[in-house]
Amino acid sequence: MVVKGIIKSKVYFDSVSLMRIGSELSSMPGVEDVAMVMGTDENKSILKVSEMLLSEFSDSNGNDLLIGVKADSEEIVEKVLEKMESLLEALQKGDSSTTTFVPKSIDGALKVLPEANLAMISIAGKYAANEARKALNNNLHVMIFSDNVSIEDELSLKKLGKEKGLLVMGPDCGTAIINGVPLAFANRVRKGDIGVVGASGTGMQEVTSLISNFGGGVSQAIGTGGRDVKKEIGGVMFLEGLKALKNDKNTKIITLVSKPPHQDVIDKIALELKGCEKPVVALFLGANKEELSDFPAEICTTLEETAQKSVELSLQLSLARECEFSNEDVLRERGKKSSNQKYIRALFSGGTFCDETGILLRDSLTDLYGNHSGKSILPLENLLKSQKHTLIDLGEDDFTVGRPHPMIDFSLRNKRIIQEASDPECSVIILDVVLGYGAHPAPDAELVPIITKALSINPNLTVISYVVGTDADPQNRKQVISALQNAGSLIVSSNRAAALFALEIVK
Amino acid sequence: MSIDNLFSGSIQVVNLGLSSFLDALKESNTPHVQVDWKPGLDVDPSLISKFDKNRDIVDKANKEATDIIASGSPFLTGMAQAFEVIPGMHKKLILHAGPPITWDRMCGPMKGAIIGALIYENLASNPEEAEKLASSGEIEYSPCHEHNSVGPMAGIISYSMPVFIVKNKTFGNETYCTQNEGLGKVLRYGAFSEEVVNRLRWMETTLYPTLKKAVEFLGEIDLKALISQALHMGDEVHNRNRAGTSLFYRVIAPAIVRTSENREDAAKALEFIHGNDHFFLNLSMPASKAILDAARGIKNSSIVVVMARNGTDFGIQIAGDSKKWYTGKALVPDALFFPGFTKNDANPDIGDSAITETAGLGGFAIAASPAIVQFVGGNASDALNYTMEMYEITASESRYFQIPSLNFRGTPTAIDIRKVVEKNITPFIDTGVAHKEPGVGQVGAGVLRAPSEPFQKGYVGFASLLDE
Amino acid sequence: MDIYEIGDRLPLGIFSLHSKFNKYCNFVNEYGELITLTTEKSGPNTITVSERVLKSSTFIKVTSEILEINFDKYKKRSIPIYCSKIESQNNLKKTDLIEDNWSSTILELKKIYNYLKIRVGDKTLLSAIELGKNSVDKILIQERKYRFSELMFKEIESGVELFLDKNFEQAISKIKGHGFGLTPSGDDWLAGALTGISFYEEYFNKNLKNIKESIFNLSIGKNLISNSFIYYAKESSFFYDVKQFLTSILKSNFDSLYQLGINVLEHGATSGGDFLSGFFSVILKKDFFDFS
Repeated sequence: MVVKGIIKSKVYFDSVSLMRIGSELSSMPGVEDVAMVMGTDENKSILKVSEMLLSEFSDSNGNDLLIGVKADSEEIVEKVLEKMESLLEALQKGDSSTTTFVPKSIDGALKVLPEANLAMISIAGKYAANEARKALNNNLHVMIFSDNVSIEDELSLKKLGKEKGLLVMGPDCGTAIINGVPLAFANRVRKGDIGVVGASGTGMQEVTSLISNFGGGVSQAIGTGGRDVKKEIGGVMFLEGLKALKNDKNTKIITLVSKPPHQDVIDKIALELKGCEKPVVALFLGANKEELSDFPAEICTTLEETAQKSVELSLQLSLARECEFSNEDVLRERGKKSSNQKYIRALFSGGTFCDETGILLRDSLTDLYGNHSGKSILPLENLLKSQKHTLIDLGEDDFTVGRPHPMIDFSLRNKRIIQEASDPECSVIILDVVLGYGAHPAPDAELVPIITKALSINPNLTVISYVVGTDADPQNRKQVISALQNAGSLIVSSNRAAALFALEIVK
Repeated sequence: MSIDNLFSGSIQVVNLGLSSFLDALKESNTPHVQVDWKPGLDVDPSLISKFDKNRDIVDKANKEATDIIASGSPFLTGMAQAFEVIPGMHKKLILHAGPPITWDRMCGPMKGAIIGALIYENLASNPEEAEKLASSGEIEYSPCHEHNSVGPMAGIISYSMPVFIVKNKTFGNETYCTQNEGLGKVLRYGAFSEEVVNRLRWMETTLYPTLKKAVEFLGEIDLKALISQALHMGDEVHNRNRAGTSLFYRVIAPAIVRTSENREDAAKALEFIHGNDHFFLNLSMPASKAILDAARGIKNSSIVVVMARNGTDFGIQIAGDSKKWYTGKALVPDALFFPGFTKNDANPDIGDSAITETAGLGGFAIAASPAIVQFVGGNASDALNYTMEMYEITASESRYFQIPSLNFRGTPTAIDIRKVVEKNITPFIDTGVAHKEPGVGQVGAGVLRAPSEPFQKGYVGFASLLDE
Repeated sequence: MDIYEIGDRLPLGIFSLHSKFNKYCNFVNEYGELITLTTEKSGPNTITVSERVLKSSTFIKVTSEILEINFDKYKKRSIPIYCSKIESQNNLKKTDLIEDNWSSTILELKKIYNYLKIRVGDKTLLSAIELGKNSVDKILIQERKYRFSELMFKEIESGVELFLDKNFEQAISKIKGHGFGLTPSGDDWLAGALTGISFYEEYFNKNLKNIKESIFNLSIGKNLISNSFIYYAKESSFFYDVKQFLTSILKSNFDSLYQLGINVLEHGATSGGDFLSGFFSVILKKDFFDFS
């Protein structure tokens, strides 16, 4: 074991650089320990205890930078000191090369940004797989926002990604948050220690936003695209994402959000979770809780509950959350209704919200119709006309062909709101308002006049909205909420609360 | 690479597609780059997968080709008359720019230049006679490129014309090019008046012997060194050759003074070079060709070794398939026109001078040449962007030819036809523009993209040579 | 005009360049007092300037009227002044009301403390120190089982225990000057602790000057930058991000504290975290402020 060191006098490096260099040096092979500290007497006494106090350090003072290296051989020490010099030197130089050149391809982009490590792909689906493959071959993690990628391509891309240790998020992955950076349709949420893997874009937006609004924070949110958990793909990326969160030192809590995966995939996830030391919270929206009794995670049934559980585990305290609507609220709204005004009309821009609402209402209401038909939800005869209780996902292909997604383009839903308000049987309208990057820049400006108009057409109508997002989002949740409130909408904080409130009113 | 690395470091994003996704990246100070992506040229998808399968083989062959291109060392080693050195040259052979073409399909300037050449060679005594002879079938036409030669604009080389001999000393191959006539009414722009022919005769009888002796006296002139210096001095050696010409002048002047028997001839020769900023073009072109010709015939290499235009068609040749021309319609350049002329007067793109772009000079090096950015829309950043874009389609960066404003980065060199097709980026050429009628001359200078058709055809043709 | 704002506690004298960084430069006078030139956020002893001035300055002279940077003279009166003080808690007059408010504030601060702990890197005192748990294993130290950095934290941690037990002399010798960064972690912790005490003073309108002075005198060392931070913390003069943070606590504006806390965290590599560790340590320690 060799210990050597040097003193740098009267040169000051900021702490960030010192720490970065220190950790880079100590990770060099053959290095036992590196101390890079100001030469205070106190630091020197610790150096002494760790047998790194060199005689030449004795005259140094608190304005000197001491660098001590303990390593296997003289040679290595020399190498470390050499490397340190070059790193410190590089610090004092700046870089100045800037051009306005916009590259035309992934390899062109890599010449401009050689350290790039993630590609976001939102070009037309038929080209997306090809470009994703190029990105993977260049060792980039990939997020594919594009849809209409064939399932064969999806599988081969994910296999390639797995082989290379790269994330392949999507195709049709709308939301991810990597290292705190919101990608595609995502919200600006607080950083924290809750890692999310999700196969549902809007579901992840709601869960991550609520985590943030409840006081918690998100380390990573990895989207996989909805098809990942189906049998054909076998959950390849869901599992890779999960493994990555298990290894991530900034993730202390793992949260899973998905529609019910194929049984094979559930089994694989369960196997992966065996022996996981981090607490796991799982939402398989619509799955039977009893059937998951052996699944090694805290099973939740709603997006809101998932967020709450995660935050409670993260901050190690219990969030006492009161019911958001009082009995008086319910009675007041009920009292306004005329005798035939008894149905809920829920108009969603997020598919997962439509599903969750269906699940929350199906046991209490009959005559439930919608375009996500399934268990207890009957298919609408005509998508353009509501029947009894109706839940509509306006993001479905039937509505979006030839126009932007309803989170961006409100016109279709606006029309539908007026249509519902004019229907004497309509009692409650539920609206989701999704904020964040990618979404409409000013949803309140769209909705306020429409809600006002709807309530003037039918003053006995109840409009319940909830805003998915945070106060840090570009649209600012607080402002949107107060604008909607002023227009006459009732506001709750989650999709679940909206469904239950509406249910109480029509029951 | 692993996901752990991604989480423990910071992310840096390449964004293909919706640019609105950049908002979040900008706000969080995440390093990012937007890709101005467009679909590749339209080719059969099965070909793309064939290329994919053969990627390593082609990459390896291209590495061989780019190594050869990188180590090329063109020297001016002498001068001669065409018949003395150009393979296959005979009295009734006329070499022309671009891919092969028959008389009836030739554009005005090329026809005019041939008329002038026939008069110059005393095969006809007036234009009418010359035109009759030219169309009679008696005259053989062949591309310069098929005779180790290059010629600017119409690129006409006839039997008696003096040519520079440029030798790639690393590989021993030679190329040839005529002496540049200057601007105005000149043969290469299709002019054939008495004045033009008289100048050609003077170039043969006075300029040529004077220069020849001087070059012999010097032994050789390192063109690679001259070109790389010229790039540092604001030339891109296609459309601007002022620095190259001056550098050549500095080298040749003392030798001319020493070797010329007639002081007046020496002065005339030097004045001629001095008065013609494009004199060096006829050296940068054969130098480019000498570098590229050495890479011909490398099996499986998809590097383009020729881009050339005859005023009607634009043709390319590929290293791995170098006997074959792939052609498409030549386009009309976007140009800054001289007073009194418009785009309507312009002939489609013409000349072998695109050999400079093929070698990583000319339009590919336009960032080195702020003086001519007015041809590309006026500001230096446009020129930078054009050069930057060409890195997208080239397989290497030159070791010798550098762009000062890009921190002396090597110029983008060796066009890979795969990249042209898959990225839908065609080579960028800056060029002089000829009047479409013979005899008028140059009407402007400007820039254009190579047409995509030759590259698409080349891609298909080259693919057929690859293993399944 | 390239001078945007000056701090309200700018020391006087002739200052020469001490250290230079991307976004700030420190200048020092013959008494070891510091002025910081910055292009970013203000503090009691900062001069906020344009990038051009920052990059080119080598010399500063300050009198009661005039500010001179590189021989360019400015009238101090004509430059906006940054106020480093926080408004004291005047709106609640009754002691029991203040007490009530304080206990609910403490609950919220605990939540934010827990949150910030998970947000911070593992090399800061905020994450390294488990409050109320003396985890220093003397035997392991003797057997040299710890690496340098671990040893460092253990030493500071034991100092923090002592500090919270108000054994200041012994505590501060184990904290001050210890640790990583241009300003050693321990010094940042002490600045944070003094800030906590100053904040408590403001909140309850109390006078804890004597305690602060004695802590201050024990804490200063030879690192001029550390000394300056510790000094202004004792003087209840706060840097911009800290002031915002404290003001939001006074106004019970707890939602915004997450972001404001992170703004503080982002100072230096560890300084922000070390500072907040000091602040929260004294604020959240039960009965720490019983100085009777």
